[in-house]
Parts: sequence; structure tokens; C-alpha cells
Amino acid sequence: MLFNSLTFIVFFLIVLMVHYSPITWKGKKISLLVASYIFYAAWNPPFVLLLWLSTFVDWHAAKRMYATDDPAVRKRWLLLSLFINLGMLGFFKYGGFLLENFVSLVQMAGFDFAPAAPDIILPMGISFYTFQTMAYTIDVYLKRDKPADSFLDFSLFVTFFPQLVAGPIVRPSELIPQFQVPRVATSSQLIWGLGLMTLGLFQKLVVADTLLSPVSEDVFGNFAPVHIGDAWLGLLAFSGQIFCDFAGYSTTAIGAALCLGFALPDNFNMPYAAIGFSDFWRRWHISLSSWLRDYLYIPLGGNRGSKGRTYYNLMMTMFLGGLWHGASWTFAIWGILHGLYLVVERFLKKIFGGRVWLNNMAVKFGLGLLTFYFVNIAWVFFRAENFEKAGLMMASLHGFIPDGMKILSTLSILSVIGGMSSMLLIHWWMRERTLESIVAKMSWWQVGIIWSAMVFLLIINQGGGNAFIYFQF
Amino acid sequence: MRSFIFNSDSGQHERTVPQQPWKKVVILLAVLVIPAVFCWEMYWRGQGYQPDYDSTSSLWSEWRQKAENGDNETIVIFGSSRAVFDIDLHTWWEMKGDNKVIQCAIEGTGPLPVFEDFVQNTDFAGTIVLSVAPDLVFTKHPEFSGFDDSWAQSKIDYYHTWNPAQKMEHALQLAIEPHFAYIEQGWLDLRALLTRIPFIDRADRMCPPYDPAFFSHYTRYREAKMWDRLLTDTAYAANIQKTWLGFGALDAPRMTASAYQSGIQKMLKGEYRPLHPVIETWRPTELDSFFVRINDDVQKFKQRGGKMIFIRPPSSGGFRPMEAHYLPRELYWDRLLRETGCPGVHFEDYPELQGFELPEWSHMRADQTPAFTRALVKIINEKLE
Repeated sequence: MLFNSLTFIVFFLIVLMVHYSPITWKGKKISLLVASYIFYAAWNPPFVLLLWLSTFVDWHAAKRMYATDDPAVRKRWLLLSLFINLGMLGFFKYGGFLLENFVSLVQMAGFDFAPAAPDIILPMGISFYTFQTMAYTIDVYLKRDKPADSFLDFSLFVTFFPQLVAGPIVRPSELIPQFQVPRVATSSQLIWGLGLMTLGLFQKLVVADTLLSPVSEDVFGNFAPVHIGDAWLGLLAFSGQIFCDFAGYSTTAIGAALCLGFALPDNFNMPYAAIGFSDFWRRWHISLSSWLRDYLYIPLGGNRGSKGRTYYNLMMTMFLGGLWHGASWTFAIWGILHGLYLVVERFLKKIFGGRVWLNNMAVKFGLGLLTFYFVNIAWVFFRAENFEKAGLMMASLHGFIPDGMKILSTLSILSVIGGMSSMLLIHWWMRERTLESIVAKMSWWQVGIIWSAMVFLLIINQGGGNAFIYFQF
Repeated sequence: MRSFIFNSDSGQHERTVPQQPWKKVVILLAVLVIPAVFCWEMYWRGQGYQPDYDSTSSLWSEWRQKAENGDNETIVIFGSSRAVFDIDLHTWWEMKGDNKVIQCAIEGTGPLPVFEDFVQNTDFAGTIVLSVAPDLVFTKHPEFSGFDDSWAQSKIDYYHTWNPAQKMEHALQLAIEPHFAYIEQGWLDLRALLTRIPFIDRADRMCPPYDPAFFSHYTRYREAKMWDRLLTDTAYAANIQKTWLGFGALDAPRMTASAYQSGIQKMLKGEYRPLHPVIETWRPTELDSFFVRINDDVQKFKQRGGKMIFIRPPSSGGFRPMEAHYLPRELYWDRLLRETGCPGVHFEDYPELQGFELPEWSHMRADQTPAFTRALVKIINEKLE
């Protein structure tokens, strides 16, 4: 079920009515669990079985691990959990990709092998909920946390509908305790939650889908290389689109959870005002980057080994992080580029770290722009359908296509220039601020007018039906 | 001020809520938004728009599903926009004595993929009426949307993966759309409105083909009824006429506006450019396989007891000579009937199917469609007896 649909409005109203009806806390949790399964099944009912499998296996694995001190037994249960979760992810998400690469290798070796293409449907949000539930068993295995007391609470942790299909990827310690005691949103929390949902949908439907997406689709989908100016506008449009699409989802999810009385963590924090790449990853898809840090980078050794080993760990983490986004080598390259950026940044910090001039605002701004440039270059590989398209786009961007086609209309040019310059200004202005602190300083009628404008634009936008980009991951 | 406060030791999990008199904010929101939406609706009604239904993939899927479940008395129409505009279902239902005539034609794309999918994936053994718009059936161009069957294929894919959420969304849209004129996706939505702001583009900008302006209201049964404005506003109708000619003027997926306009002017004078090389290449090599492909499906359908007829609804004005030039009847329409052995009804062969007004040269004015349908159905019935 999409947030940006009439169906969700009806669904959410029913959920709110049941949640705020005079039933027991357990009854409320059961109703939320049922609602979450309906939310997921509305897309493809049989795939609820995957959620149940993941829930059942991880619940039992964690219990068994916790009940014994025998390292071998504990490891076996952890491996079972990882095998089931990564196995599901591997089959549904990477099955076709692995087969395709295997066939290429076999054919390169001179064998005539051409199996039928597998017809595998990717279950929505599988990358998100498998990571979330794996965090649970890994935490119990590492004795960072104890298993949930109640199967109902754990099932709801795996399935909680606001963040089920596209995050934020919530840690067990952040969410399970919230299910243990009755929580009811105050009227202020409910209204602010609705405000966040409006803001998230505005980002997705008006800014991403209406203003920016047509431009990036035009440029990346054109049959011939485009002019350098059009290439940059198309790339900037995608840069804004992917942010507003994904941050829009996260904001809506946070708002929906808040309406029900639950607190989800932030997933984005003005990433295009990042100064450097480690700063970028502290601001972009925070729940994934912190997951990768805690469950991949640190277990690989983090920065505790030699310089070379640290660089290897960074590259491997970002490479796998790239593949997490999609079963394609273009995503892998996107991850590798970010790994490379982090390695170079780490290397440069060793040389220039602590210099006074680095604190100069102009230098910071310059470094921010440089960060933004390289982040955008990496987006080329994230967005392009294949390496040929990515190569042509890179050539267009850097002026190697002398007769590139000018395809963008004046409206498209103004949309990108207006949209992206506003976005960058907002990100820099809010770099050290929060949305909450800004809204708190506004007068009530200013808040009302801005909120009304967003609602009105959403209504006349008539948009709907466009899935969030991150659903496919 | 932090947005998310998390302390696992104290068990604190909270999001900060800014201090505001929130109830006053919500009242202001209602006071501003409700009148604004009312005014917006009234404005578009004042511009001549009426509440109707959007032509969505779900609406098509609904009727495609009904067609699949149809019995041997059911008639299913496949084709493109001319079938959707020119055939008045209520007239046909009245003549037939039941409402087992289902409109499954899709605007702006060729019908072959939809027909093929229907024959191969259903047991339907009633009657299929396949409407032929020559440019959409007999030309294929991988770079031109609509001419590459991708639009039809997207509808088929949508139907086969039509999920419960989309069905629920469809039911809600059907409940809301008949009450609001401003809901007109692709024409009155924010993006479409922004696109129509008359900015001046760069002279050397390469434009995609123009989409036609809004010219029909859609019914619950997937009929398109031509907008009255085309009967009185000749400039508006002429603009759509040029859009159709523009498809003939294209020699690349994108052209400069001046080249495009110049191409249209030449079309109007009957100065036809050579066919695009890609289409030219398609003709001799792929056309044969096209006929083999459609014939296979037709024979398969006939073998299970189905009846099949092709129809060719009218076109007029500057469009008809262009069709005749690029897609002469004897090479395409006549061959289609010959190879499939199916009966066909070409509007040029029947005086009773001629003389109807097509304000933009390709589709019929709404008030004449009952008479056209009566004449057409009479001929179809005779041919299928």
C-alpha cells in the first residue's frame, strides 16, 4: 500500500479509530499487527509468508541463543537466522543477478549455456525488514540486548507498517520497548504527526514527482547524449528527486508512527549540506549507514587494524551497501565510489586534519560544494540503467559530447534551478537546526498558512500511484 | 532542540513536538483549504469541465477482467482511441438486448499485444471486434512511444499484477471522480498545468512529440465522449488536428519546434516526407511476421469457437490522405482480411458509415456516435451471421 493513495488515507483513519478506541493495550497491539499485515498484503498477499517466516525464525533463534551459554549452539542459531534472512534476500533480490553473472562467466569460458530467465518478483521492502530483524538476532548473539518478552511485541517490531517497506530501519532497542508500555499520542503529537505526514507527501508528490522527476527522466531516458547544461540539470533533478522521494517517505513514516504515539528516529538530516563524505553518511539514510557501521564495518575490524585494512573495510562496507540498493553492477559502482570517497577523505584528514583554515566558513562551504559535486557524480551510476548510459552521461556532464541535444524546456530548467537552489539553501540554513526548532519559532498563523499551502498543492497535484523509489530496494 | 530523543537506560523514546497552539493551526488549515478547493473546483467547472472518470489502468483492468469472464454471447472491443470515441455502448446494448459488449480498446497504442494476450491467456469464445487505426496497427517504431506497443504492454502487465491495493484505490477513485471536475489526470493536475505555462523555449531545443490537448470526457464504461468545446472552438480543434499530423511529421523522437511546425505545414499541403528509415526497415521484414503473428492468434481464437471481425472507423480532413499515403489500404487493410480470413467493415465501403463529423479529423463528435454505432452494429451483425 502506498502512502500517497486514497487507500492509505482510509486505511490510516481506520487504524487511528481502532487505536484510540477503548480497548486494551494488547488489543491495540494486535490491531496494529493485523493492520501491518494488511498493509503489506495489499501489495501481494502471498509475500506475507516471508514476513511470518522471518518473524518465526528470528524469534526462536534469539530465544534459543539467550537460553544457552554454549558458543557452538549460539552460533548455530545465529547462522540459521542469517541463512534464512540472507537466503530470502539472496533468492528474491539477487537470484536473477547471480544467474546472469554466472551465465556470462560460463559463456566467457566458451560454453554455450543459456538458461531461461528466472521470473522472480522482488517482495516489497525485503531489504529493509530483513536487515531490521537480523539486527535483533545479532544483538542477542552479541549479548548487546536480550530477546523480546512477548512474541506479539516482536512480531510488531518486524512488521510495524509505517516503516515496514522503506525504513527507517529501526533497532530492536529503539522500538520493542515502546510496545511494552501503553502509549497514546497527545493531541499535539497527533497534529504534529499529521503535519509531518503532509510534509513528507509534499516532498514526494510535489517536489520529487511533479517538479524534478520529469526532468531527470527526460535526461536519463533520452535516446541520445544531451548537452552539458541539460546533463547537469538532469543530474541535479535526480539528486533532488531521490532525496525528496526517500526523505519524504521517512518523514511520512515518522509522522504516521507519531500519530499512533510511537517515536521513530530520523533518517535524513540535510545531507546536501554535508562537508565531507563521512558527514554525508551521517546525514543520508542514517538508519542504513549506522546499520552498516554496526553490523558490517565494525565486525570487519573497523578502523582497529592497519590503514590498509581500514580502507579495505570501508570499501567492502560501501560496496555491499551499494549492492543492498539493487542487484546491478551500477549500484555496486555507486557504493564503490562512496567507499573511495571515504578512503580519500580519511587519507586527506591524516594530512590536513586540525588545520585552522579548515574552520573558515568559506572553506567549509567550498568543501560542501565539492562533496555535493562528488555525491552527484555517484548518482549517475545509481540512476543510469547501464554502464553505457552512465558513460554517455559522464561524457555529457564533462563536455565531451560537442553536439549534445538540448532537450529541456524552460519550465524544466526553471523547476530544477528553483527547486535545487531552494533545497540547497534550506539544507545549509538548517544544517545545525531541526525542523522542530524552526516551527517552534514561527507564529501559529505562519505554520497554518504554510501547512495549508502544502495541503492545497497536494490536492490539486492529483498525484498518486507513483511508488517510492526505495520500494524497489 | 533534538527531533528524536532516545535513551535506552531510562526507556525514553520521544519525538520533540514544537510548541504551538495546534488546535488553532488546524482550524486555520480548514478555513483556508476547504474554500480554496471549492473555488478551484468552481473555476474549472466555469471553464467547461465536467466531472467524469479518468482513463486509468485500473479502469481498463476492470473491464478486461469482465471480458475474460464473458460468455459466448459477449462482445469484446479491442483497438485504439477511435473505438473508444466512436462506439456508443448504450446504443449497442439496446440493439443487442443485453449489456454484454465490453470496451477494451486503449487510446494511443496498437491493439495487437492486448488481443494476443487475451487470446493466449483466456478461454473466451465470444466475439472480438478489433478496431484498426492503420498508423497504430501497421507501423512500429522502437523509439516512438505508442508506436512501439510499450503503452499497450504496460496495461497488460498492470492487469496481470493488479493487486488488492490498486483494486481498492480504483474503487475509491470511482467513488470520488464523478463529483469533481478538477480531477483530470494528465490535463488539470499540477504538472500538466505547469507545463502549459507559455514559457518561450530555447530555439534549438529538441522537443518530444506534442500530446493532444484535452478533448474528451470519459465514462464509467470506458467510452470517450468528445468535449463540446471542439464543436464551437475551431482553433482548439485545429490545434488537435495538427497534433495528429505531427506524428506524421516526426522524423526523429525529438525535433525542434520550428522543424516540427514546418513538417506539419507540409503535411497540410500534402507534401509527405519519406518514411522514417526505421519504419521503412520494419515494413518489408517485420510486416510479414506481424501478419503471421496476428493470424496465429486469430486462428487460435476461431478454433475454440470465437468469432472475429475487424472494423476501420472513419478519419477525415488532412489526416485521411496522410493515412492513405503512408499506409495504402490494399497493402494493409485488405491484406489483413485476406490473411486472417476474417470479415471486415471499412467505413469507406458503406455510405451509412460516412458523413459523420470528426472535428479533429480522427474521432467522432459525441452526439453522432449513437447513429454511427447503429449503422456499424447492423453491418457487423450481417457480416457475422
